[in-house]
Amino acid sequence: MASVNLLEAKNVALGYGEREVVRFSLALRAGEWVSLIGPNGAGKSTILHGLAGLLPLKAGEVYLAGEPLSRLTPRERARRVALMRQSPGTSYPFTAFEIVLQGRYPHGPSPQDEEMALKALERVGALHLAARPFPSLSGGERQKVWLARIIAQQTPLLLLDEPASHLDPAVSHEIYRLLRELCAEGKAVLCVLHDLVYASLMSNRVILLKKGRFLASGPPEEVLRPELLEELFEAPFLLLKHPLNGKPLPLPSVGL
Amino acid sequence: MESPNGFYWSSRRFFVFLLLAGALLGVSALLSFFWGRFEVPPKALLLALVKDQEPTLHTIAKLRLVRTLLAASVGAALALSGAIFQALLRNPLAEPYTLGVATGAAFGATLAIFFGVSAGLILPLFALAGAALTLLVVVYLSRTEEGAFRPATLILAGLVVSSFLSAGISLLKSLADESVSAIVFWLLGSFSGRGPLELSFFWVYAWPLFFLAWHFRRELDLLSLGDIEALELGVPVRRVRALLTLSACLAAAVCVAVSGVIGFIGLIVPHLVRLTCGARHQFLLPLSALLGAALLVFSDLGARLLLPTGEELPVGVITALLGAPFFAWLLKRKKREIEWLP
Repeated sequence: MASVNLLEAKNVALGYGEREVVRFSLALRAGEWVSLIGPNGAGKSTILHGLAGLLPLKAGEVYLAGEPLSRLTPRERARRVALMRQSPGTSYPFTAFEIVLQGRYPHGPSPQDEEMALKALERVGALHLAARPFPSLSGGERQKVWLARIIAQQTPLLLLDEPASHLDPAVSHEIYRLLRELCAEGKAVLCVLHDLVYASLMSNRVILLKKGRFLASGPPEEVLRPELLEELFEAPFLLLKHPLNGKPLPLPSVGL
Repeated sequence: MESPNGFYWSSRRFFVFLLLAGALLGVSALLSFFWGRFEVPPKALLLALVKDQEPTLHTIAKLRLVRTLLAASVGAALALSGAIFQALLRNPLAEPYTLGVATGAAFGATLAIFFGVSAGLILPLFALAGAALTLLVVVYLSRTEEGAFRPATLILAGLVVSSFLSAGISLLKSLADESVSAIVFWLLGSFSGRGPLELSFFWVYAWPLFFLAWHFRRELDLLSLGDIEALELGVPVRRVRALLTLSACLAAAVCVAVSGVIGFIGLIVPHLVRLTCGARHQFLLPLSALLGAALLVFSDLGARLLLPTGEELPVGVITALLGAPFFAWLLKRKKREIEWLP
């Protein structure tokens, strides 16, 4: 893997109005999956929005493949970093294909756009949905189409905000599998997750975020420990080991 | 890999509908020009347009031509402005008057009529000033601390300012004695007695809408899904939003200024087009403009000819009388297919 950092954040501070919400430094290499874990309101989404250039930096600088974020035009930035959130609802009858095609916007109109959009839809296994109006799709189908849109955007860096949390186990499994594949092909992934099991299984590194500061950062085996998780969430946890790969599987100790 | 045609609302379909809408506009314009209260042989009317031998005939020809052009222009601008507000506010019920500029313009015009200073371009200028002040107040009310705008807040602010100004209009109406009927007729919208002055006044203010709407057609697709989604893909959201809002408001205001408050065109036409050719603005905008123009020219024809007594109906009455039942029918019949309607 290339050793250049696809993302480097140096002493970045982010917030809203006067209020500073998070302060952190962070680096991501190609092919690396880093998960952000923390309670609601810890600043996870704020970090993603800041790194995607949607929030002004209060301090520090973010480098995307060595290029400072502040010097990129919005389109240049959108060719380097994509943010995937829960797909929005819309009242208008865009077809799934048109939704994916929109992901080509930062690259400007080009004759290859339609083919790329089709390839992206095929990749997520949603080619059969291409002609359907987006508003008529189920939640799972929408999220797959939305993932195809992010793929069509062709950025080396993916920021994911709970990409599958509201979906049934089969669809989430499929989405995570596809994302892991993209990561293996050399994209860097920073993913906000509430599901600790997926965090453990997917990540090269896990970051625990508490009240805007990194509480711990490292491989899942080192970070997903009951005492750290208890400190993070102020709730008790048990720890199992995955029978196949020995990865830690944190479980909430509730209803016992 | 299969061809993408059929995977989205295809361009072939769009061109068919573009031809249809163009033909409809052509037919409406011809009817509007050749058919009127005074029956004139078509050939004589055409000749009178270029030659100035018979003054009466020449005047009739010129008036009909300008009136047809103005109705088509206003119809196109209303439909475009409606499509843009529906995208920017992400609300299918949005229309050119949602932000209150129409009521502002109407209030300005009512003031002009009330004080008896409605000659020439004074009334349209009063209307434009009223609309501009209204927009300022609405923007001031709905602006957040960071300078951002939320669609719901904008709609609410528009509603509040609108109701206040409506009350103002009612107050002026009850204070006015002789001019009440003039105010009422004007409020309902009409092209009666409008000439080249109004037509040029209209285009001076309305052209940015036509230009910017087409220029930002891809950005409008992205904005109708969400601001964050558009920002994420590299759209300079604030600039695009400000330019489009201003030009659409200006066009809506100048529509009201030259022809009064004509409802339903701006609401219905974009929905009709979405039913046939989908939501992409590349298709939606040109079709909406053509269809809006054709519908308003037809409505104006009806307004001129329907009453047997020879008097004119306000064209706003026609658009509402036709528009509301049609919309209701559409909603009822196509409910399952148009699930994107609330």
